[in-house]
Amino acid sequence: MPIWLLNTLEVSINGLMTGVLYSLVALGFVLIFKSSGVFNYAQGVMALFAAQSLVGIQTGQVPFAHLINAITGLHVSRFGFDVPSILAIILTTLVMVVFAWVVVRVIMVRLVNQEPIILFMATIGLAYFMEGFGDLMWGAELKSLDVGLPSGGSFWIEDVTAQWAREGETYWGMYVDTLDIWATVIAVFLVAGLTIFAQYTKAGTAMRAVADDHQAALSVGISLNRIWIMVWSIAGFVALVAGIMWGAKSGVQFSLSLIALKALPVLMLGGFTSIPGAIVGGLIIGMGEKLFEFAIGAPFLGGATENWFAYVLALLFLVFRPQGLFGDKIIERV
Amino acid sequence: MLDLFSAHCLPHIEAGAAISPELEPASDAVVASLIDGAAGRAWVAENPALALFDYDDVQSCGVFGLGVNADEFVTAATSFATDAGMIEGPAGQGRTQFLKQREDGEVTLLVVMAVPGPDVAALNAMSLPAGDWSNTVLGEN
Repeated sequence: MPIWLLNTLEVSINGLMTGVLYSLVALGFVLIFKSSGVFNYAQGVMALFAAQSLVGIQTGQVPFAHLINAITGLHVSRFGFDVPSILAIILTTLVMVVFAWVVVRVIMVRLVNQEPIILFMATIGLAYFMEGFGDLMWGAELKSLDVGLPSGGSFWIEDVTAQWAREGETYWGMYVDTLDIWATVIAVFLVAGLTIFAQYTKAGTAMRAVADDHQAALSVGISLNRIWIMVWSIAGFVALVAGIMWGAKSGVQFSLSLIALKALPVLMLGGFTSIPGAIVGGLIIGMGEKLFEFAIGAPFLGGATENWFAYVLALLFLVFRPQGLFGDKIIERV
Repeated sequence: MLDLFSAHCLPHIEAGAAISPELEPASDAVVASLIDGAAGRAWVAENPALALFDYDDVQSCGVFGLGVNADEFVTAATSFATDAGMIEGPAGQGRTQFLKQREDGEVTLLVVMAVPGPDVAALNAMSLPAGDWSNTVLGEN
């Protein structure tokens, strides 16, 4: 294979894997929007909070240590033991379920039948509250997250692909981060699990009924509260997975919450109501931005096009296909 | 089916009263199948292919029928709803909805569901507080 083709392939593969991570974040938005019509601005902060909680539990950190110390004059920080990663993930999932319950009972239930903009504003408030609450509970400093997933370039892939170059050309092999490979595998299982859950389980059927029509679902005895708690819990778990993947790559800090901004173009492209749309949209955005940067951005435009390319692509979609690739077409009677 | 519904379901829902029809209570299996784990009760009509059910958690009740021609049922139910002063709302897959504004400020939602293949049909009535959704539907018609 010629070098340029190998480079393009490498960029495409890395873009697809980055896209999977975007899809993970977008998935959380889609789940909540489908079931409750709420555009959850707090989804990115949920990923940050989940990652903070995971690191805190894993390292045996005392929650609200700063607050306890300030009030009592003590100097507590850690319990003195570490929690195994798997157990920490399970405990963090429970934290996210409790969070879901509180959100539904305190916010969602009181805002039933309100305008979407009011619900959106409520999630903005929730996002800032959670950001502060997370910092208060676990501290705002940069934390490293390691749940035992391998990271770094795959030597095997490098060795295999190095031989793909034409004779006489020097090629060192493709760089593919093993963490990205793991993230892709986990995301695929997660999406498959969610699809099976939504299609073949009673609770999933009820969830789809609520997504389809709140009032009709309510009239056949489906509890909106129960479904909303379930959906927010699932979205919390998806946020945890996204938080683990992004946190393992770039550390757990405030900027983790900004990954939500990367999910917005994915949603515009894939549609706000489609799980497959979130996946395909993520892949297109991930691969598109890397390829654009590689082929046009870096050589002709001075680079850093990844910051805006996704939004330009999404804007084009908004103009020509506002419902996205897979979203429901909204027709309002006038 | 419509007779059963108009005799036992709709008046009680609109009056906000509990349903207690003089019908035979349905077996546990029928209750489990009909209301699917939600809190509620069910009764079987004289025609064993018809059942009446009532939910405890929401003010909603309905009738369920087996061996019902879907097209004929939808036509009859639409006529019934229109005669009852209802306004057609948004429809979904195999589902038509009707709404009526009541004097007590609440709305009655009627959901007509019919599936042609297995020939099953259901008619649900629910009492809801008026909101943006119902105001939009009622205002547009």
